[in-house]
Amino acid sequence: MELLPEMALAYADAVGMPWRRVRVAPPGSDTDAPDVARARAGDEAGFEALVRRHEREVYCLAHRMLHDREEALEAAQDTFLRVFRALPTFRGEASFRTWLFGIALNVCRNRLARGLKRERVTTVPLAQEDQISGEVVALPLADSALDPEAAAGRSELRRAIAAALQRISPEHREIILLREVRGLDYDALAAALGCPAGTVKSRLARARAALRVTLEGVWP
Amino acid sequence: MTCEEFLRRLDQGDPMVEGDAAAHAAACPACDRALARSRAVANELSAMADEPAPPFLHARIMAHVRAGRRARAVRWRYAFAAAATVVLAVGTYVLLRPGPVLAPTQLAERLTNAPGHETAQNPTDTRERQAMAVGGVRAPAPVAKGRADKAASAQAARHTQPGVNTVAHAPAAGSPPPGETGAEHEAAERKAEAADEERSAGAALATQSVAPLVPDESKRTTAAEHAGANELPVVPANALGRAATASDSRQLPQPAQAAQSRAQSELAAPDTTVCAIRTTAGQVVAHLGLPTALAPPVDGVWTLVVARDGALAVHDARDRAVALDGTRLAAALGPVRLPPGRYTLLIER
Repeated sequence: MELLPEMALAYADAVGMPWRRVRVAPPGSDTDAPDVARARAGDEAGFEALVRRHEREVYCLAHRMLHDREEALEAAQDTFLRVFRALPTFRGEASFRTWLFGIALNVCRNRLARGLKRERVTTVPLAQEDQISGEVVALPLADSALDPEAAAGRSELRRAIAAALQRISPEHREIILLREVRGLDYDALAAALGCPAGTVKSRLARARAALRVTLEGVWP
Repeated sequence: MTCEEFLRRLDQGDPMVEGDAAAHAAACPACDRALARSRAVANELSAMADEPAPPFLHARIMAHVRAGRRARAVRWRYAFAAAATVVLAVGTYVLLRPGPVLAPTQLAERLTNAPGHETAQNPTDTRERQAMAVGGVRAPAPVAKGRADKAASAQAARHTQPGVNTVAHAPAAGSPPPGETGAEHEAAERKAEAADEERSAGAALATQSVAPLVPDESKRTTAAEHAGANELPVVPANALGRAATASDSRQLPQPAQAAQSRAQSELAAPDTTVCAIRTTAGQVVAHLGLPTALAPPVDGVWTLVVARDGALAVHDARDRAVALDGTRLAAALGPVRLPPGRYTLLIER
Protein backbone atom coordinates (compact mmCIF):
# COMPACT_ATOMS: atom_id res chain seq x y z
CA MET A 1 0.00 0.00 0.00
CA GLU A 2 1.44 3.35 -1.02
CA LEU A 3 0.89 6.13 1.46
CA LEU A 4 1.43 9.81 1.16
CA PRO A 5 4.13 11.02 3.57
CA GLU A 6 1.68 12.82 5.82
CA MET A 7 -0.60 9.81 6.02
CA ALA A 8 2.35 7.54 6.68
CA LEU A 9 3.61 9.69 9.49
CA ALA A 10 0.15 9.91 11.03
CA TYR A 11 -0.23 6.15 10.75
CA ALA A 12 3.19 5.59 12.33
CA ASP A 13 2.32 7.92 15.19
CA ALA A 14 -1.03 6.25 15.70
CA VAL A 15 0.28 2.71 15.91
CA GLY A 16 3.46 3.72 17.74
CA MET A 17 5.83 2.23 15.21
CA PRO A 18 9.32 2.71 16.57
CA TRP A 19 11.18 3.30 13.29
CA ARG A 20 8.34 4.50 11.18
CA ARG A 21 9.06 1.75 8.74
CA VAL A 22 6.02 2.57 6.71
CA ARG A 23 6.57 2.40 3.03
CA VAL A 24 6.22 5.91 1.90
CA ALA A 25 5.75 6.81 -1.69
CA PRO A 26 8.61 9.14 -2.57
CA PRO A 27 7.28 12.54 -3.47
CA GLY A 28 6.84 12.95 -7.16
CA SER A 29 7.58 9.33 -8.01
CA ASP A 30 4.46 9.11 -10.12
CA THR A 31 4.46 12.61 -11.46
CA ASP A 32 8.10 13.11 -12.39
CA ALA A 33 8.07 11.14 -15.61
CA PRO A 34 5.99 13.55 -17.73
CA ASP A 35 7.94 16.55 -16.51
CA VAL A 36 11.21 14.75 -17.13
CA ALA A 37 10.11 14.01 -20.68
CA ARG A 38 9.11 17.64 -21.20
CA ALA A 39 12.36 18.90 -19.74
CA ARG A 40 14.36 16.52 -21.93
CA ALA A 41 12.55 17.91 -24.93
CA GLY A 42 13.79 21.37 -23.97
CA ASP A 43 10.63 22.59 -22.26
CA GLU A 44 11.75 24.87 -19.46
CA ALA A 45 8.34 24.72 -17.79
CA GLY A 46 8.77 20.97 -17.35
CA PHE A 47 12.14 21.47 -15.74
CA GLU A 48 10.77 24.22 -13.53
CA ALA A 49 8.06 21.84 -12.31
CA LEU A 50 10.76 19.35 -11.32
CA VAL A 51 12.67 22.06 -9.52
CA ARG A 52 9.59 23.19 -7.66
CA ARG A 53 8.84 19.64 -6.58
CA HIS A 54 12.29 18.70 -5.35
CA GLU A 55 14.12 21.90 -4.50
CA ARG A 56 13.26 21.86 -0.81
CA GLU A 57 14.49 18.35 -0.13
CA VAL A 58 17.65 18.95 -2.16
CA TYR A 59 18.31 22.12 -0.21
CA CYS A 60 17.63 20.41 3.12
CA LEU A 61 19.88 17.49 2.21
CA ALA A 62 22.64 19.90 1.23
CA HIS A 63 22.10 21.93 4.38
CA ARG A 64 22.44 18.87 6.56
CA MET A 65 25.44 17.67 4.61
CA LEU A 66 27.27 20.98 4.54
CA HIS A 67 25.88 22.59 7.69
CA ASP A 68 26.05 25.98 6.04
CA ARG A 69 23.07 27.81 4.64
CA GLU A 70 24.84 29.68 1.87
CA GLU A 71 26.80 26.60 0.85
CA ALA A 72 23.55 24.65 0.78
CA LEU A 73 21.94 27.26 -1.47
CA GLU A 74 24.86 27.12 -3.88
CA ALA A 75 24.88 23.34 -3.77
CA ALA A 76 21.18 23.24 -4.59
CA GLN A 77 21.76 25.62 -7.50
CA ASP A 78 24.66 23.58 -8.80
CA THR A 79 22.68 20.39 -8.41
CA PHE A 80 19.82 21.60 -10.56
CA LEU A 81 22.14 23.12 -13.11
CA ARG A 82 23.90 19.78 -13.42
CA VAL A 83 20.57 18.03 -13.64
CA PHE A 84 19.51 20.38 -16.40
CA ARG A 85 22.67 19.66 -18.36
CA ALA A 86 22.62 15.93 -17.72
CA LEU A 87 18.94 15.35 -18.38
CA PRO A 88 19.58 14.17 -21.95
CA THR A 89 21.73 11.37 -20.52
CA PHE A 90 19.17 10.34 -17.89
CA ARG A 91 18.25 6.78 -18.80
CA GLY A 92 15.51 6.29 -16.25
CA GLU A 93 17.06 3.17 -14.71
CA ALA A 94 16.46 4.70 -11.28
CA SER A 95 13.74 7.16 -10.45
CA PHE A 96 14.39 10.79 -11.18
CA ARG A 97 14.37 11.54 -7.46
CA THR A 98 17.03 8.93 -6.75
CA TRP A 99 19.14 10.22 -9.63
CA LEU A 100 18.68 13.75 -8.33
CA PHE A 101 19.85 12.75 -4.86
CA GLY A 102 22.89 11.07 -6.37
CA ILE A 103 23.84 14.29 -8.14
CA ALA A 104 23.15 16.36 -5.03
CA LEU A 105 25.40 14.10 -2.99
CA ASN A 106 28.18 14.43 -5.56
CA VAL A 107 27.89 18.20 -5.43
CA CYS A 108 28.03 18.13 -1.64
CA ARG A 109 31.01 15.77 -1.64
CA ASN A 110 32.86 18.04 -4.04
CA ARG A 111 32.18 21.03 -1.87
CA LEU A 112 33.31 19.18 1.21
CA ALA A 113 36.45 18.02 -0.56
CA ARG A 114 37.21 21.55 -1.77
CA GLY A 115 37.24 22.62 1.82
CA LEU A 116 34.13 23.87 3.36
CA LYS A 117 36.29 25.24 6.11
CA ARG A 118 37.51 28.11 3.99
CA GLU A 119 36.79 31.34 5.70
CA ARG A 120 33.84 33.20 4.40
CA VAL A 121 34.60 36.91 4.69
CA THR A 122 31.30 38.67 4.80
CA THR A 123 30.23 41.87 6.43
CA VAL A 124 26.84 41.89 8.05
CA PRO A 125 25.60 45.27 9.22
CA LEU A 126 23.98 45.02 12.59
CA ALA A 127 22.52 48.52 12.53
CA GLN A 128 21.77 51.26 10.08
CA GLU A 129 20.76 54.90 10.14
CA ASP A 130 17.07 55.56 9.78
CA GLN A 131 16.53 57.63 6.65
CA ILE A 132 13.80 59.75 8.19
CA SER A 133 14.65 60.24 11.81
CA GLY A 134 18.39 59.88 11.42
CA GLU A 135 18.57 57.55 14.38
CA VAL A 136 20.66 54.46 14.30
CA VAL A 137 18.37 51.49 14.59
CA ALA A 138 19.26 47.87 15.03
CA LEU A 139 18.58 45.59 12.11
CA PRO A 140 16.62 42.44 12.75
CA LEU A 141 18.82 39.42 13.06
CA ALA A 142 18.73 36.62 10.54
CA ASP A 143 15.32 35.33 9.66
CA SER A 144 14.72 32.60 12.15
CA ALA A 145 12.43 30.87 9.69
CA LEU A 146 15.52 29.95 7.67
CA ASP A 147 17.11 28.16 10.59
CA PRO A 148 15.52 24.69 10.74
CA GLU A 149 16.03 24.26 14.42
CA ALA A 150 14.82 27.73 15.35
CA ALA A 151 11.91 27.67 12.92
CA ALA A 152 10.50 24.47 14.28
CA GLY A 153 11.18 25.39 17.85
CA ARG A 154 12.65 21.98 18.08
CA SER A 155 13.72 20.20 21.13
CA GLU A 156 17.14 19.83 22.46
CA LEU A 157 17.20 16.43 20.84
CA ARG A 158 17.03 17.90 17.36
CA ARG A 159 19.90 20.23 18.08
CA ALA A 160 21.84 17.30 19.46
CA ILE A 161 21.11 15.25 16.36
CA ALA A 162 22.15 18.14 14.12
CA ALA A 163 25.40 18.45 16.02
CA ALA A 164 26.00 14.71 15.95
CA LEU A 165 25.38 14.57 12.23
CA GLN A 166 28.17 17.06 11.74
CA ARG A 167 30.54 14.97 13.80
CA ILE A 168 30.11 11.70 11.99
CA SER A 169 31.81 11.13 8.67
CA PRO A 170 30.20 12.51 5.48
CA GLU A 171 29.82 8.95 4.23
CA HIS A 172 27.74 8.02 7.29
CA ARG A 173 25.92 11.33 7.29
CA GLU A 174 24.71 11.01 3.73
CA ILE A 175 23.35 7.52 4.15
CA ILE A 176 21.57 8.47 7.38
CA LEU A 177 20.01 11.50 5.71
CA LEU A 178 18.88 9.57 2.66
CA ARG A 179 17.49 6.67 4.63
CA GLU A 180 16.11 8.16 7.83
CA VAL A 181 15.18 11.61 6.60
CA ARG A 182 14.35 11.07 2.92
CA GLY A 183 13.08 7.52 3.28
CA LEU A 184 14.92 5.96 0.35
CA ASP A 185 14.77 2.17 0.22
CA TYR A 186 17.85 0.01 -0.15
CA ASP A 187 17.69 -0.15 -3.95
CA ALA A 188 17.35 3.58 -4.25
CA LEU A 189 20.14 4.05 -1.75
CA ALA A 190 22.36 1.77 -3.78
CA ALA A 191 21.57 3.75 -6.92
CA ALA A 192 22.07 7.12 -5.28
CA LEU A 193 25.27 6.16 -3.52
CA GLY A 194 26.61 4.08 -6.37
CA CYS A 195 27.31 0.97 -4.36
CA PRO A 196 25.79 -2.54 -4.05
CA ALA A 197 22.76 -3.13 -1.84
CA GLY A 198 24.82 -5.30 0.53
CA THR A 199 27.23 -2.47 1.05
CA VAL A 200 24.31 -0.16 1.73
CA LYS A 201 23.06 -2.36 4.57
CA SER A 202 26.41 -2.68 6.28
CA ARG A 203 27.22 1.00 5.80
CA LEU A 204 23.85 2.00 7.19
CA ALA A 205 24.36 -0.15 10.28
CA ARG A 206 27.79 1.41 10.86
CA ALA A 207 26.32 4.87 10.34
CA ARG A 208 23.57 4.27 12.90
CA ALA A 209 26.11 2.96 15.37
CA ALA A 210 28.30 6.01 14.79
CA LEU A 211 25.35 8.35 15.27
CA ARG A 212 24.25 6.53 18.42
CA VAL A 213 27.72 6.67 19.95
CA THR A 214 28.17 10.31 18.98
CA LEU A 215 24.79 11.25 20.40
CA GLU A 216 25.74 9.81 23.75
CA GLY A 217 28.33 12.55 23.94
CA VAL A 218 26.03 15.44 23.03
CA TRP A 219 22.73 14.22 24.39
CA PRO A 220 23.30 12.46 27.66
CA MET B 1 20.66 -12.23 23.85
CA THR B 2 23.62 -10.13 24.90
CA CYS B 3 23.69 -6.33 25.04
CA GLU B 4 26.18 -6.22 22.11
CA GLU B 5 23.90 -8.35 19.98
CA PHE B 6 20.94 -6.18 20.98
CA LEU B 7 22.72 -3.00 19.95
CA ARG B 8 23.91 -4.59 16.70
CA ARG B 9 20.36 -5.50 15.79
CA LEU B 10 19.23 -2.04 16.81
CA ASP B 11 21.73 -0.51 14.42
CA GLN B 12 20.57 -2.83 11.67
CA GLY B 13 17.11 -1.33 11.97
CA ASP B 14 15.35 -4.10 13.80
CA PRO B 15 12.28 -2.66 15.59
CA MET B 16 12.94 -4.95 18.58
CA VAL B 17 9.27 -5.03 19.45
CA GLU B 18 8.90 -8.77 19.83
CA GLY B 19 10.75 -11.96 20.57
CA ASP B 20 13.97 -12.24 22.54
CA ALA B 21 14.91 -8.62 21.74
CA ALA B 22 11.82 -7.35 23.51
CA ALA B 23 12.53 -9.69 26.42
CA HIS B 24 16.12 -8.45 26.65
CA ALA B 25 15.01 -4.81 26.58
CA ALA B 26 12.55 -5.51 29.36
CA ALA B 27 15.28 -7.11 31.46
CA CYS B 28 18.19 -4.72 30.66
CA PRO B 29 17.65 -1.02 31.59
CA ALA B 30 20.66 0.14 29.52
CA CYS B 31 19.42 -1.57 26.38
CA ASP B 32 15.88 -0.38 27.06
CA ARG B 33 17.19 3.17 27.27
CA ALA B 34 19.16 2.70 24.07
CA LEU B 35 16.01 1.44 22.36
CA ALA B 36 14.02 4.45 23.56
CA ARG B 37 16.72 6.85 22.37
CA SER B 38 16.86 5.14 19.00
CA ARG B 39 13.11 5.55 18.55
CA ALA B 40 13.29 9.19 19.54
CA VAL B 41 16.17 9.82 17.16
CA ALA B 42 14.37 8.05 14.32
CA ASN B 43 11.26 10.18 14.90
CA GLU B 44 13.31 13.34 15.01
CA LEU B 45 15.17 12.43 11.84
CA SER B 46 11.89 11.75 10.06
CA ALA B 47 10.63 15.13 11.15
CA MET B 48 13.66 16.76 9.56
CA ALA B 49 12.11 16.01 6.17
CA ASP B 50 9.66 18.83 6.80
CA GLU B 51 12.27 21.50 7.33
CA PRO B 52 11.56 24.75 5.55
CA ALA B 53 13.61 26.18 2.74
CA PRO B 54 14.26 29.84 1.99
CA PRO B 55 11.36 31.40 0.12
CA PHE B 56 13.66 32.71 -2.60
CA LEU B 57 15.14 29.27 -3.24
CA HIS B 58 13.13 28.56 -6.37
CA ALA B 59 13.82 31.92 -7.98
CA ARG B 60 17.51 31.63 -7.18
CA ILE B 61 17.81 28.13 -8.59
CA MET B 62 15.98 29.01 -11.80
CA ALA B 63 18.03 32.18 -12.24
CA HIS B 64 21.20 30.13 -11.81
CA VAL B 65 20.03 27.52 -14.29
CA ARG B 66 19.05 30.15 -16.84
CA ALA B 67 22.35 31.94 -16.42
CA GLY B 68 24.19 28.66 -16.88
CA ARG B 69 22.15 27.93 -19.96
CA ARG B 70 22.95 31.33 -21.44
CA ALA B 71 26.62 30.97 -20.60
CA ARG B 72 26.65 27.61 -22.28
CA ALA B 73 24.99 29.03 -25.36
CA VAL B 74 27.57 31.79 -25.49
CA ARG B 75 30.37 29.24 -25.13
CA TRP B 76 28.89 27.25 -28.01
CA ARG B 77 28.69 30.42 -30.06
CA TYR B 78 32.35 31.17 -29.43
CA ALA B 79 33.28 27.59 -30.20
CA PHE B 80 31.34 27.76 -33.45
CA ALA B 81 33.01 31.03 -34.38
CA ALA B 82 36.42 29.54 -33.62
CA ALA B 83 35.66 26.46 -35.68
CA ALA B 84 34.44 28.61 -38.56
CA THR B 85 37.63 30.65 -38.37
CA VAL B 86 39.74 27.52 -38.52
CA VAL B 87 37.77 26.21 -41.49
CA LEU B 88 38.15 29.54 -43.26
CA ALA B 89 41.86 29.62 -42.52
CA VAL B 90 42.37 26.09 -43.80
CA GLY B 91 40.26 26.80 -46.85
CA THR B 92 42.23 29.94 -47.57
CA TYR B 93 45.46 28.04 -47.21
CA VAL B 94 44.26 25.33 -49.56
CA LEU B 95 43.35 27.92 -52.16
CA LEU B 96 46.50 29.98 -51.72
CA ARG B 97 49.00 27.25 -51.05
CA PRO B 98 52.17 27.22 -53.08
CA GLY B 99 52.80 25.27 -56.22
CA PRO B 100 52.15 25.52 -59.95
CA VAL B 101 48.55 24.53 -59.62
CA LEU B 102 45.48 25.57 -61.47
CA ALA B 103 43.56 28.25 -59.69
CA PRO B 104 39.94 27.25 -59.00
CA THR B 105 38.59 30.11 -61.04
CA GLN B 106 40.80 29.07 -63.93
CA LEU B 107 39.42 25.59 -63.65
CA ALA B 108 35.94 27.05 -63.61
CA GLU B 109 36.84 29.06 -66.65
CA ARG B 110 38.02 25.98 -68.46
CA LEU B 111 34.88 24.09 -67.69
CA THR B 112 32.57 26.94 -68.52
CA ASN B 113 34.01 27.76 -71.93
CA ALA B 114 33.27 25.62 -74.92
CA PRO B 115 36.26 24.42 -76.94
CA GLY B 116 37.18 26.63 -79.82
CA HIS B 117 35.51 29.70 -78.45
CA GLU B 118 38.81 31.23 -77.52
CA THR B 119 40.14 31.22 -81.05
CA ALA B 120 37.40 33.58 -82.09
CA GLN B 121 37.76 35.83 -79.11
CA ASN B 122 39.66 38.99 -78.79
CA PRO B 123 43.07 38.34 -77.19
CA THR B 124 42.54 41.36 -75.01
CA ASP B 125 39.45 39.70 -73.51
CA THR B 126 41.45 36.55 -72.82
CA ARG B 127 44.10 38.54 -71.03
CA GLU B 128 41.51 40.27 -68.90
CA ARG B 129 39.77 37.02 -68.10
CA GLN B 130 43.01 35.33 -67.11
CA ALA B 131 44.04 38.29 -65.03
CA MET B 132 40.70 38.16 -63.25
CA ALA B 133 40.96 34.43 -62.76
CA VAL B 134 44.44 34.59 -61.30
CA GLY B 135 43.89 37.75 -59.35
CA GLY B 136 40.64 36.46 -57.93
CA VAL B 137 42.43 33.66 -56.14
CA ARG B 138 45.85 35.03 -55.53
CA ALA B 139 45.22 38.60 -54.61
CA PRO B 140 44.70 38.95 -50.88
CA ALA B 141 47.11 41.90 -50.70
CA PRO B 142 48.04 44.76 -52.98
CA VAL B 143 51.49 43.34 -53.60
CA ALA B 144 50.09 39.98 -54.49
CA LYS B 145 47.60 41.63 -56.76
CA GLY B 146 50.43 43.38 -58.55
CA ARG B 147 52.20 40.11 -58.96
CA ALA B 148 49.01 38.55 -60.22
CA ASP B 149 48.58 41.30 -62.80
CA LYS B 150 52.16 40.84 -63.89
CA ALA B 151 51.72 37.08 -64.16
CA ALA B 152 48.55 37.49 -66.13
CA SER B 153 50.23 39.93 -68.44
CA ALA B 154 53.18 37.61 -68.90
CA GLN B 155 50.87 34.74 -69.66
CA ALA B 156 48.88 36.80 -72.07
CA ALA B 157 52.11 37.84 -73.76
CA ARG B 158 53.23 34.24 -74.04
CA HIS B 159 49.96 33.30 -75.64
CA THR B 160 50.83 35.57 -78.48
CA GLN B 161 54.06 33.68 -79.23
CA PRO B 162 53.78 30.87 -81.77
CA GLY B 163 54.57 27.43 -80.40
CA VAL B 164 54.52 28.42 -76.74
CA ASN B 165 50.80 28.17 -76.11
CA THR B 166 49.91 25.61 -73.54
CA VAL B 167 46.40 26.66 -72.75
CA ALA B 168 43.48 25.18 -74.59
CA HIS B 169 41.53 28.40 -74.72
CA ALA B 170 44.46 30.55 -75.80
CA PRO B 171 43.87 32.76 -78.78
CA ALA B 172 45.24 31.93 -82.22
CA ALA B 173 48.99 32.43 -82.20
CA GLY B 174 50.01 35.94 -83.11
CA SER B 175 46.64 36.97 -84.40
CA PRO B 176 46.42 40.73 -84.22
CA PRO B 177 43.45 42.43 -82.63
CA PRO B 178 40.91 43.93 -85.00
CA GLY B 179 42.06 47.27 -86.32
CA GLU B 180 45.79 46.53 -86.02
CA THR B 181 48.19 45.56 -88.75
CA GLY B 182 50.55 42.63 -88.24
CA ALA B 183 53.65 44.84 -87.93
CA GLU B 184 51.97 47.11 -85.42
CA HIS B 185 50.83 44.11 -83.45
CA GLU B 186 54.32 42.59 -83.30
CA ALA B 187 55.79 45.89 -82.15
CA ALA B 188 53.15 46.16 -79.46
CA GLU B 189 53.91 42.62 -78.32
CA ARG B 190 57.63 43.29 -78.03
CA LYS B 191 56.84 46.41 -76.04
CA ALA B 192 54.55 44.45 -73.74
CA GLU B 193 57.18 41.76 -73.19
CA ALA B 194 59.78 44.34 -72.19
CA ALA B 195 57.32 45.96 -69.84
CA ASP B 196 56.46 42.57 -68.39
CA GLU B 197 60.10 41.82 -67.66
CA GLU B 198 60.47 45.17 -65.97
CA ARG B 199 57.41 44.56 -63.88
CA SER B 200 58.66 41.06 -63.01
CA ALA B 201 61.85 42.48 -61.56
CA GLY B 202 59.87 45.10 -59.66
CA ALA B 203 57.48 42.48 -58.32
CA ALA B 204 60.35 40.34 -57.08
CA LEU B 205 61.71 43.30 -55.18
CA ALA B 206 58.27 44.05 -53.81
CA THR B 207 57.89 40.48 -52.66
CA GLN B 208 61.22 40.70 -50.90
CA SER B 209 60.04 43.73 -49.02
CA VAL B 210 56.84 41.98 -47.96
CA ALA B 211 58.41 38.68 -47.01
CA PRO B 212 61.95 39.39 -45.88
CA LEU B 213 62.27 35.99 -44.21
CA VAL B 214 62.03 34.17 -47.54
CA PRO B 215 63.77 36.39 -50.01
CA ASP B 216 65.07 33.58 -52.21
CA GLU B 217 61.66 32.11 -52.77
CA SER B 218 60.16 35.30 -54.02
CA LYS B 219 63.07 35.72 -56.37
CA ARG B 220 62.93 32.22 -57.71
CA THR B 221 59.25 32.07 -58.37
CA THR B 222 58.63 34.82 -60.80
CA ALA B 223 56.35 34.68 -63.76
CA ALA B 224 59.33 34.90 -66.06
CA GLU B 225 60.56 31.53 -64.79
CA HIS B 226 57.12 30.05 -65.14
CA ALA B 227 56.91 31.34 -68.65
CA GLY B 228 59.64 28.94 -69.70
CA ALA B 229 58.33 25.98 -67.73
CA ASN B 230 55.57 25.08 -70.14
CA GLU B 231 53.06 25.34 -67.34
CA LEU B 232 50.12 27.56 -66.72
CA PRO B 233 51.74 30.58 -65.13
CA VAL B 234 49.77 31.03 -61.99
CA VAL B 235 50.96 33.65 -59.58
CA PRO B 236 54.66 33.27 -58.81
CA ALA B 237 55.24 31.67 -55.45
CA ASN B 238 52.14 32.45 -53.49
CA ALA B 239 50.62 35.52 -52.11
CA LEU B 240 51.83 34.74 -48.61
CA GLY B 241 55.46 34.62 -49.69
CA ARG B 242 56.00 30.98 -48.82
CA ALA B 243 57.68 28.21 -50.81
CA ALA B 244 56.07 27.53 -54.12
CA THR B 245 57.68 25.05 -56.48
CA ALA B 246 59.28 21.66 -56.23
CA SER B 247 62.70 23.23 -56.69
CA ASP B 248 61.92 25.54 -53.79
CA SER B 249 60.99 22.59 -51.67
CA ARG B 250 64.27 20.91 -52.43
CA GLN B 251 66.10 23.93 -51.11
CA LEU B 252 64.19 24.04 -47.88
CA PRO B 253 65.66 22.48 -44.77
CA GLN B 254 64.63 18.88 -44.30
CA PRO B 255 62.24 19.43 -41.36
CA ALA B 256 60.57 22.28 -43.20
CA GLN B 257 60.26 20.12 -46.31
CA ALA B 258 58.72 17.32 -44.31
CA ALA B 259 56.31 19.66 -42.60
CA GLN B 260 55.37 21.21 -45.89
CA SER B 261 54.78 17.93 -47.64
CA ARG B 262 52.85 16.62 -44.66
CA ALA B 263 50.67 19.72 -44.59
CA GLN B 264 50.09 19.49 -48.31
CA SER B 265 49.20 15.84 -48.21
CA GLU B 266 46.86 16.39 -45.30
CA LEU B 267 45.17 19.43 -46.74
CA ALA B 268 44.95 18.05 -50.22
CA ALA B 269 43.49 14.70 -49.33
CA PRO B 270 41.12 13.39 -51.98
CA ASP B 271 38.21 13.88 -49.64
CA THR B 272 38.87 17.59 -49.45
CA THR B 273 36.50 19.69 -51.48
CA VAL B 274 38.69 22.32 -53.04
CA CYS B 275 36.12 24.55 -54.62
CA ALA B 276 32.74 24.69 -56.30
CA ILE B 277 32.49 25.45 -60.02
CA ARG B 278 29.38 26.79 -61.68
CA THR B 279 28.90 25.36 -65.13
CA THR B 280 26.20 24.10 -67.45
CA ALA B 281 25.23 20.65 -68.61
CA GLY B 282 26.18 21.47 -72.20
CA GLN B 283 29.64 22.60 -71.24
CA VAL B 284 30.23 19.55 -69.10
CA VAL B 285 29.14 17.33 -71.99
CA ALA B 286 31.37 19.21 -74.39
CA HIS B 287 34.44 19.19 -72.14
CA LEU B 288 34.18 15.73 -70.74
CA GLY B 289 33.28 14.04 -73.99
CA LEU B 290 30.08 12.61 -72.58
CA PRO B 291 27.24 11.23 -74.66
CA THR B 292 24.30 13.59 -74.53
CA ALA B 293 22.27 10.93 -72.75
CA LEU B 294 24.67 11.14 -69.84
CA ALA B 295 24.43 14.90 -69.50
CA PRO B 296 24.14 16.00 -65.89
CA PRO B 297 20.74 17.26 -64.79
CA VAL B 298 20.19 20.94 -64.37
CA ASP B 299 20.58 21.98 -60.72
CA GLY B 300 22.47 18.74 -60.16
CA VAL B 301 25.78 18.50 -58.36
CA TRP B 302 28.60 16.49 -59.86
CA THR B 303 32.10 16.11 -58.58
CA LEU B 304 35.43 16.19 -60.33
CA VAL B 305 37.78 13.98 -58.33
CA VAL B 306 41.53 14.37 -58.64
CA ALA B 307 43.42 11.51 -57.02
CA ARG B 308 46.79 11.93 -55.40
CA ASP B 309 48.46 10.44 -58.46
CA GLY B 310 46.70 12.97 -60.67
CA ALA B 311 44.12 10.56 -62.05
CA LEU B 312 40.89 12.30 -62.97
CA ALA B 313 37.36 11.04 -62.48
CA VAL B 314 33.92 12.55 -62.54
CA HIS B 315 31.23 11.39 -60.14
CA ASP B 316 27.52 12.05 -60.49
CA ALA B 317 25.18 13.21 -57.73
CA ARG B 318 25.06 9.70 -56.30
CA ASP B 319 28.85 9.58 -56.24
CA ARG B 320 29.00 7.03 -59.04
CA ALA B 321 31.86 7.35 -61.48
CA VAL B 322 30.72 8.66 -64.84
CA ALA B 323 32.21 6.93 -67.89
CA LEU B 324 34.08 9.61 -69.73
CA ASP B 325 36.69 10.14 -72.35
CA GLY B 326 39.78 10.58 -70.24
CA THR B 327 41.83 11.91 -73.10
CA ARG B 328 39.31 14.60 -73.78
CA LEU B 329 39.14 15.58 -70.14
CA ALA B 330 42.91 15.72 -69.90
CA ALA B 331 43.00 17.82 -73.03
CA ALA B 332 40.37 20.13 -71.62
CA LEU B 333 42.38 20.66 -68.49
CA GLY B 334 45.59 21.17 -70.42
CA PRO B 335 49.06 20.41 -69.10
CA VAL B 336 48.28 21.76 -65.67
CA ARG B 337 48.28 19.79 -62.49
CA LEU B 338 45.21 20.08 -60.35
CA PRO B 339 45.72 19.69 -56.64
CA PRO B 340 44.23 16.43 -55.38
CA GLY B 341 40.77 16.80 -54.02
CA ARG B 342 37.16 17.07 -54.99
CA TYR B 343 35.78 19.88 -57.15
CA THR B 344 32.06 20.34 -56.90
CA LEU B 345 30.41 21.06 -60.23
CA LEU B 346 27.17 22.99 -59.78
CA ILE B 347 25.18 22.37 -62.94
CA GLU B 348 23.17 25.44 -63.92
CA ARG B 349 20.96 26.30 -66.85
